[in-house]
Amino acid sequence: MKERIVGVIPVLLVLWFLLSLFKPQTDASKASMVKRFWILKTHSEKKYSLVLCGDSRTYRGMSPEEMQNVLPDFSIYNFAYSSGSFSAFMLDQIEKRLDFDAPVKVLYLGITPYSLTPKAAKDGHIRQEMARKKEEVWEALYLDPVKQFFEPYQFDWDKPGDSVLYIQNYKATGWVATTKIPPDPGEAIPIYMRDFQDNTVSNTMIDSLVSRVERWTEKRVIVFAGRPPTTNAMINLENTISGFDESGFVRKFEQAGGIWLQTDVNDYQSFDGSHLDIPSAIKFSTDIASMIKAELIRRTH
Amino acid sequence: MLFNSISFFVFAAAFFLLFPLVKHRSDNLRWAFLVTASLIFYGWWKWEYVLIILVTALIDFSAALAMFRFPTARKWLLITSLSANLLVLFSFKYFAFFLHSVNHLLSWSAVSQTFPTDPPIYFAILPVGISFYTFQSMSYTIDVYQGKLRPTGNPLHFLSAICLFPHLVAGPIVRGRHILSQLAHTRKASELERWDGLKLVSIGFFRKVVLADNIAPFVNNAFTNDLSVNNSIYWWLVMIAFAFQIYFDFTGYSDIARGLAKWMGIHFHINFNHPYYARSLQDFWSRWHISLSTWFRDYVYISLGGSRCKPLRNHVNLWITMLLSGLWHGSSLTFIAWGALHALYLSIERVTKLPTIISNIPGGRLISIFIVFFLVVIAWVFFRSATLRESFIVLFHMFSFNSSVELGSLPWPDFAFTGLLFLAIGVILEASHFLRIDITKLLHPRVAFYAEVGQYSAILAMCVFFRGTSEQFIYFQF
Repeated sequence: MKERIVGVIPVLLVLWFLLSLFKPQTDASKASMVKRFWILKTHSEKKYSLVLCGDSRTYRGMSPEEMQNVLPDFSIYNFAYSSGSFSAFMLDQIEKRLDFDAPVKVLYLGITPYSLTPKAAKDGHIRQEMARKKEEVWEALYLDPVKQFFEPYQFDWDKPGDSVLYIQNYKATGWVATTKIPPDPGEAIPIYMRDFQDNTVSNTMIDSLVSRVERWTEKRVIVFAGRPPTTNAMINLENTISGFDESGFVRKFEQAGGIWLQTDVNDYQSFDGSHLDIPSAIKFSTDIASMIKAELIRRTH
Repeated sequence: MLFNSISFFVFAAAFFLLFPLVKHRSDNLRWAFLVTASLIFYGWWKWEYVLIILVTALIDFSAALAMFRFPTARKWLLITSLSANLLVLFSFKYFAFFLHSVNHLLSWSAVSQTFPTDPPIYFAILPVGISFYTFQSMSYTIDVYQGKLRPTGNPLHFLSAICLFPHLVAGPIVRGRHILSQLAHTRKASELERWDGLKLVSIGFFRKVVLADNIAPFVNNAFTNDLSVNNSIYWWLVMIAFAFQIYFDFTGYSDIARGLAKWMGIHFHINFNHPYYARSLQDFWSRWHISLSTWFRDYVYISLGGSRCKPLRNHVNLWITMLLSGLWHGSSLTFIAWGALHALYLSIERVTKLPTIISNIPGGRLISIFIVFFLVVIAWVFFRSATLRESFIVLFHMFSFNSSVELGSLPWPDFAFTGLLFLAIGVILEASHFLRIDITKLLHPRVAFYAEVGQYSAILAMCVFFRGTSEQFIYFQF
């Protein structure tokens, strides 16, 4: 009988290992992974020579991995947040992630009209993540992966009516590769109509941003910016109700030393009328990286 | 602490590592260790609970000892002991219900006085397991009174019997004469007992965390959100699911308790014997929660005269016993209704002798099993429902057979399919016992060895990876 009791232990350990290895991702492990993603983005002290900043169009639309293929000499990180802004507070956080000791330092700012509004300037998402207690951060980073090993299997039953597939892959580089099947190009329009009610672009914020770009440029940081591609309908909406004057902004930005990167929205596809789907995000990342590379080569010559 | 919690695993590991070091030293040290560990286990919920169990236990210990030393005062000492236990039980469990019932009765009369039904703050939370350990303690003093048991003179010995953590919060209700003798001596568990203990704990966890906890969300959702769903098949599925949920939940706990006790070298009687194979309601009550049903049989039914009196009085004794049994489960009319329905079943059975008639017809064994199961499921409606109104709504749905909602059009959440899957698995496993299928007995002994090791390793692995949402044991609320 002793052999039976002792025999159970190794067999049990093997079974545990196998069952955990082949376990599909559960909602709990997804939630835990998402939590860890944002905690790492916020609490990590690692610095990068190329930092991507902005809101959800940037964190869903720009892949550091793809950019790395074009710019292998850079360490690249996507530091964008939900409803991320370019408030003074956010610009301070961006500076903390940039490696000022790197030989070439680059920032890319994904400028959307919403990111320049007072509502966005509350920076609710990053502040929420920064407010997490140390114990919670520690638990999410070190304890949750162990707990996930023992998470139970989850049964997902395909039922008639389950027709929408929403995919979100959280990458260690800060990119959230997202798509929705089938896509719904009109989904985001009413949301943005609501977001811009009594909440238009702030000229104060633009001036503050431009002033910071000047300071960065003086510190030999190369600051790129662009308007992340979306749908024509969304651009028309934003141009109409957000109070954003793109040409005026570009003029100020370039006067401060920044480099504006223009792309054609018709080259890309959105899954919800605001954000790029995965193939488009890869293409956009590659395109931006190529433009950055071209500019850097031009500067060295 | 719950058996299915990390804190319990840590506690149990520490207990079974330390217990061998103390159990051979001296009886007092062994009992003190058992009492201390058990009170830590119990006090993990709320440390105040420990005071309640200590006070009632020490009253019973003193009363029993005094009964032995002062035989002429036995009756009054028994009354004191029982009164103290019942007063504690009444205060925590039935006080609010009693006041609510009084207010209800007063509302029918001309009296305008009503009583506040919120219990005093200290009685607002029901101590876990109070119904179990008070009954355990009362059986001790009653047995001493009846001369069936000589009381122990050592309070640690007595406390170790009452407080022993495997059975403390949800039974089985162990009689003093059964456990005191086992605790009086040091006994090393044999290898076979250790293996049987491990098997019982594995099966217990499997029944509780895999079967019962996966079925529970389906049942809970039905009672929370779907009371308006008028579909007979749906509600029969829900109630059959509940019948097996409560069975797996409770028998799982009992198995874990028995398995842990075996590792200590202590033997608890079986508490469930496949009750859904019962061929009569009387048979059902000899298989379901055996420790409680025998307690009521020995200390209530037989004390009232049992079946040794005229038929009408016999039925009265039966009804009193079953109503008290219902009331034991909770201070609600639904539990009393549940007890009353079982009393009605038993009375009809005695008068008509239907089980004997049915068993004599071809296929009678199977027919009687289905009939008993059918009747028990109907009774479970009252047990599960929060109110009598809810019970009647569910029964109406079950018997309407005129569904206004198609089964396929219901918004079945994922946990409903998962619940039905594990219900099916549980039913198949129960059926395998019915069919007496034991594959290991068909194999060569050496192969059977590996098969058994693999079987129980797989059971333990499933307890981790196929466990449901963590649910408290149902019987903890009693």
